[in-house]
Amino acid sequence: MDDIEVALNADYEIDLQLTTAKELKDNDVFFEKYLKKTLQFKVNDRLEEYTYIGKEYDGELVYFYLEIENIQKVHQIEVSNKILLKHFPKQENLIKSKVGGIHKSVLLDATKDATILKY
Amino acid sequence: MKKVSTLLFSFVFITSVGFAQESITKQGHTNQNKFKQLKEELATPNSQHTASGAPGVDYTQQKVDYEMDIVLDDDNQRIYGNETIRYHNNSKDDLEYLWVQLDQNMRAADSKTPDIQPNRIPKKISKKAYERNFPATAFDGGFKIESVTNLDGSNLSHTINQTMMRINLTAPVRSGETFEFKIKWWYNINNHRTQGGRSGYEHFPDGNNNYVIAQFYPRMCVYDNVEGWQNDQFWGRSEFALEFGDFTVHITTPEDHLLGATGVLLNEEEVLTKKQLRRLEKAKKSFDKIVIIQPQEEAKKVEKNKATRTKTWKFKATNVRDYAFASSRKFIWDGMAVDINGKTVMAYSYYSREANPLYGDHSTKAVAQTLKTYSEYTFDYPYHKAISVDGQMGMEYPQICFNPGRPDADGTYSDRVKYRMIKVTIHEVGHNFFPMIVNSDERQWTWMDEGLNSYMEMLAELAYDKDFPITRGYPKNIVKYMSGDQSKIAPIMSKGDHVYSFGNNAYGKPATALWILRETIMGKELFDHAFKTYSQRWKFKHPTPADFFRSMEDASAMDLDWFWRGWFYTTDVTDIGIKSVKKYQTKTGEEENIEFVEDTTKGLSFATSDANSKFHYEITYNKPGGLVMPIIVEFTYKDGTTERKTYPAEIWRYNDQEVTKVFSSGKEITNITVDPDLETADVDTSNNHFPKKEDTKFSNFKKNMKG
Repeated sequence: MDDIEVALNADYEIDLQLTTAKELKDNDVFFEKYLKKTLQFKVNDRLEEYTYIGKEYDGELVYFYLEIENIQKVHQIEVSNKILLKHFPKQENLIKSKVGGIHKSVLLDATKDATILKY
Repeated sequence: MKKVSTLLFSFVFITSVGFAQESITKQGHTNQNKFKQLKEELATPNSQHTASGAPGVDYTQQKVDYEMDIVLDDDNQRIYGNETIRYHNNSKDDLEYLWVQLDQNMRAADSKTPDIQPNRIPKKISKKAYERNFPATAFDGGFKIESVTNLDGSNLSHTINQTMMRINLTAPVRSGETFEFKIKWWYNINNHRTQGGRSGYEHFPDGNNNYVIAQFYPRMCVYDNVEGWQNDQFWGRSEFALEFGDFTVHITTPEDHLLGATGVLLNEEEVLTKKQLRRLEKAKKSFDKIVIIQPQEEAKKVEKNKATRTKTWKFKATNVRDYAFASSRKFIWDGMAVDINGKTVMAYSYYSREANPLYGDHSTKAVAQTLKTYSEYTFDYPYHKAISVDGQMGMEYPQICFNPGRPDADGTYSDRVKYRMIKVTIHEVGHNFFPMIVNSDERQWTWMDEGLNSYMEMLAELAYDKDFPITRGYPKNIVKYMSGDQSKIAPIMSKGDHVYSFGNNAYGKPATALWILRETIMGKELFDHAFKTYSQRWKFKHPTPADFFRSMEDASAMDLDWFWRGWFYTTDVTDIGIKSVKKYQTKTGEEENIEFVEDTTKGLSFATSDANSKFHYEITYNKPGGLVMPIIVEFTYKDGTTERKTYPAEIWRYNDQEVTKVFSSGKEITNITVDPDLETADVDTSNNHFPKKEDTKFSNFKKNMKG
């Protein structure tokens, strides 16, 4: 939670104060903006826009729920993930996927911020 | 001729196939049973570290006393030091050389620590990150050793290997002998806010510096019969291995500084004002309320000074393994008396106004709680005081620690900031117990103090505030780490310098191990008694992991080798589920035999039920995860009531993949759940229910958002 706060506070000049009494109201719009800028998915070689459904907190973690609808069958997903990389050069982003029972995971970072997962 | 060649070819072909199929030489295997005892992994017990996990009759340890004169140069952010080291060789061995630790050399301009960090050019980074990773000028750190001499002033030959210095003795220090020598040195103090570090200074806009000083003197390495000399380089991450001894320390600071340090202050009258002395006396008798010894209004006035004169603080510390101090003209100082089983221990806090009211509200309170809780579960805190300093880091030294957290400029602080500060303070004060008294080798085994301390910290937190938001130590909190990318996970039994995800590996995972042992495997009574036994056995001594593992079993009559092996030596995960359930009822058959009749209806329901028969369920549990854990099952009955059954871990001893167990009941079951309270760090709970639950975290969230 701390890191994503630092990143968004810096990029959008806001003061999020997540989970506190001073939490910035209606802050989902900033998270959606940040995610759209840093996280993209190409499903079966086509760039797909996802819907930002919402977020929830669990201790020090923030869970974001994103949905892409109307995909008949997934053959591959290309993930581009630049989350937190600008402010935290050593950040590592673990991609874990489960498609049709097949589990695949990949670690991305500042030197490799995209990957193609095939199923 | 042609006919013959054809025949030959076929024969050869048949022959080669024949041999492969009819071979009786099968590949054997070694004992891979998860319940194999740890006899091959642990060192053979001996008369220094016994089989029961206690120090043996031949256990010895060295003692090192220090006499130091230290000058804190506030103008140049420098420490000048002069010390006499008195090394007592209590071992049975004659020592040909001695080793001294030079931690500051990790920060020297020619330090190899930056050289071993792989790095690359990132796409872009923030200005702050750039200044930190690509500094304009190299810092002139490291100890500048001016002299290493015998007591008579003659030079003592020495060889420096990065952060370790070997004293080349002309004659060995024989068993039972004491060797004394002197070192004179100085070094530039690092700005820990910009450069990092476990000590240093913080610079304020008002021109002042807060000093939190540690690792400031060349100090002896540990010599024991497990490592010989523990002279592993200080690369920067793995912490310290240190001997116990007595310290006499004189520290000269600017006259207007307030200083807190390890040990008893011998010259209160010389260094404190009359007002401070009066309030200090009041604090020593105040068990219910915190007394402010140097209030904010007075500290604020002092901030504007710049004293040119100095004063010298004199301390004596007995039976400590290290020394540290904090000094600033900005410090506010408060204190409270704590009753530890009839003995008074003082809890103090030193902080600048930037940390108020966060520190004023919680620091000394957190110190007091830590002393009480830890003393309850291990042994009475043996020293006379414990200090928490607004040092803006999280680091422990004997009797004094440096903690994080500051309120916002308007003086308010969120719950997150508050609980973080309290959590770290409890953790750092708790370190007095592990490793500064139960003195394990941190250079080799980070987890032995960090894991044990992080577990005990949870008990102190819950005692401080029963709703304390605990984020590390509960089994469900470690699932993300354990189920992550295996190439980035190391077993707990790894050297701290070599592991990824240091926090999870050395703090979270071992703390969770102890929580699971206490809550689920052993129960509170057996665990607490064994843990106290271990702590008291190794108080003021150097335990190894084997001593901990053995003590916990020896004192409880629980075989835990399967637990240590899986959780500490491997990166296996817990995943236990329900594979299938067969349902039966009985009927009387021929010759008075009882027949079991299977009901093949899908799920748990019975097509018909015979009122004279019990309900018999043959449940097959499976274990896709490598770790062995007890099978905790909750049965929900048709009438809404529930029943629990726990099958001990030993149920997996014959078959590590699958086990079948019969459960019979007079009532019909509608639901079976494995590990309902998430006690085992199960990484996949989708197989924990029968009938299977189709909801996912995602579908539940989406449902809630819409509804």
